[in-house]
Amino acid sequence: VSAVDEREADLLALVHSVVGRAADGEALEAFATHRLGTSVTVFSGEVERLTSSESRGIGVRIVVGNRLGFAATADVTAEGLADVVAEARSNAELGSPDPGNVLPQPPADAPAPIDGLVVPALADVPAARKVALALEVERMATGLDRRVTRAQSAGYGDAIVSVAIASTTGVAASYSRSHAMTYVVSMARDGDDTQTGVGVTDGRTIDDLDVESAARDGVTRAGGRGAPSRRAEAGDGHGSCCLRPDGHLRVP
Amino acid sequence: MLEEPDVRAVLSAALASGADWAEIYVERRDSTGIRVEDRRVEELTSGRDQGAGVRAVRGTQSAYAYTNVLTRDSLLAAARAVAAGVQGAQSLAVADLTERGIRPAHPIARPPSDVDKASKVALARRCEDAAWAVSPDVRQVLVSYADVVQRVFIANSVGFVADTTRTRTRLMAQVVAARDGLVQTGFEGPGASKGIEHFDDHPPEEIGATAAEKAVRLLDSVPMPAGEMTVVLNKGGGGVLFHEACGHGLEADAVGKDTTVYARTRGQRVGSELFTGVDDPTLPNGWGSYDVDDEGTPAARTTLFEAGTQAGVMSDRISAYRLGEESTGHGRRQSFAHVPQPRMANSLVVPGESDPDAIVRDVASGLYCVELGGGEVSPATGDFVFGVNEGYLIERGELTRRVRGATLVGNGPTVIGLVDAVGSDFESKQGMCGKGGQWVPVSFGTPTLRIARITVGGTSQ
Repeated sequence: VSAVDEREADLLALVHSVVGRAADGEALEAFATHRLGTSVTVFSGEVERLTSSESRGIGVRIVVGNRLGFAATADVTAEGLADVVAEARSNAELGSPDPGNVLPQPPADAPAPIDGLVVPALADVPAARKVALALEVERMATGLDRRVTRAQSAGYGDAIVSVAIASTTGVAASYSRSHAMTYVVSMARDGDDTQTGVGVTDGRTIDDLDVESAARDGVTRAGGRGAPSRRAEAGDGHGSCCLRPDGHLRVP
Repeated sequence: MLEEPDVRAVLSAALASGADWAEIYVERRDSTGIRVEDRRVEELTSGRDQGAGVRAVRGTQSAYAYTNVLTRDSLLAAARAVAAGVQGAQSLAVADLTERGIRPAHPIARPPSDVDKASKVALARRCEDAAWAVSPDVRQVLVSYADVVQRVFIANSVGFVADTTRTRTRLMAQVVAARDGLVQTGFEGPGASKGIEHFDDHPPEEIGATAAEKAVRLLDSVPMPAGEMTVVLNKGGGGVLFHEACGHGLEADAVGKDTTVYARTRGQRVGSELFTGVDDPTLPNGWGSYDVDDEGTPAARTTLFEAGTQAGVMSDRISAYRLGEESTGHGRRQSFAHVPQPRMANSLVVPGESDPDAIVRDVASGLYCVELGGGEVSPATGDFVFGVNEGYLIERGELTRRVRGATLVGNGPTVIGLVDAVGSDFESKQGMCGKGGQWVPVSFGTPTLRIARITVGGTSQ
């Protein structure tokens, strides 16, 4: 059993305990998250900032007579949980009734887990390796083209997020997901012209990252020159835009 | 919020590996949000967020850890984590922790907690009713109410301790009006570092009606012709341009890294001699105001441009260190889950001596912008594009037709050099500013400003 599994189990127990606070006639849903994260920013070959974090919180929705109230708290002590339920309840009293205000029913068939959504081993990756990746993407980006004089910013980030949800309608589920990414914002100067370009690589864990690709994208996108502003007429063959699959514009 | 021995233990642990200084930031934030749409209370939320961040700093390097488990053990774990991230040879002790007496400069008459939620809902409903009453052309009204009470405790190893509470309230109305297939929107959303007394100065009815009137007025507009022309920015209307095209480029992290167009022009004449701009977090009860910044440095007014000469930058402790200066008290963070960054608070262009009416009368042909909308700026170059929410043609010194679809296209340093008239009036607007994934409340204010020439984009031939 991994630490991620244990956290999911703790969160499920937490949301079930809150659902147990529902009053008669109330539909109550509790949604809790736990997040473990690291981020690194570098500048000019040095670590600028290393951040590690752990946080958790819970949100409560209560529906009474088709009136909806919501409250959230980071205080998961017994007193904090009692307060957040009371807040959600009083908020529901002032909401407008809407027949759409109902809590979802549980699915007929439990959804199949998604393979590879979380890589628990990401939590065990040493900070030094994360720092090295951030430094590497900056080093590569500033070494590919003489016009790229520096990286405006470069870094690494990751997170393992666990989620649990339970409600009086019978919903009870949890999952975890992980995410890692490295990025660089390259800054190119050529005479008086200055351009910036972003390169990003991401995946479920650090082994998925293609640092060279991110560095090349950052440099390539900093190499474009400003397009002149003009009105594009349909079919005139000029000034049209194409959207690439990765979401970036290419202007012919 | 924490006992002194716990604070000292956390700071000592964070310093253990040789940091120059260490800091603990503890926050508790209580908030209320109400959304009323088309005569229904669509959302009523309340929340309490709390947590602490511990930072160790050596030169310009820092390590930061945060948690929302506020036990001594959890905070010490965070302190040990940051100590591991900042290595040095020195061994410094925590100085005497003496709370610096901060005289609250933004008094709160009626804290949001003194008013029940039903009364807050009533404020939003009054605003909505007023918007609907403006015209049968009003099609949709969305009103949002928000209040936040943020208590912050900051202590650092050089002996600084601050405990401050920030209260902010805001009511926003967004209105959609339509006629003959033309759809336009209007927005009004004044906010302040005040309690419920904010609505004495800005009655909900006024906010709703103003937003609706803007939307309805735009239904009578004509498409804007494009070209280079003289532009007059109404009082308050140019604030967002100053904030985006000048302010961000004068934040000291970008200046220190040479990633802004203003990095190498300090002390040089950049703008018109009529142009003086400041950032002032001490503005009484301003939306972006505070007593101390999020590193505990007392708030202070910083002059950015003095008669056109680039005078100063806005810094936090680390960016100031990089520049060899002291922090100007502009280290701000969204919450305990974020590290401080140099940020604007209330960025203002100082009023001049020109009669605002005369500024328009002297223009043969141009554009009068009542309010700018969203835009985009490249801090590296200063290039910007802004939409014009409400504008009028100036023809022979008179405001004539309302226009829609106008955009301003220019460059920050160039445009402030082309300011040829500054009005004696003044108004500010409020908003939320995003940078590095963090959002903080800011305001931006200007007198009436005239720019001799700027490229205006439009949809009319």
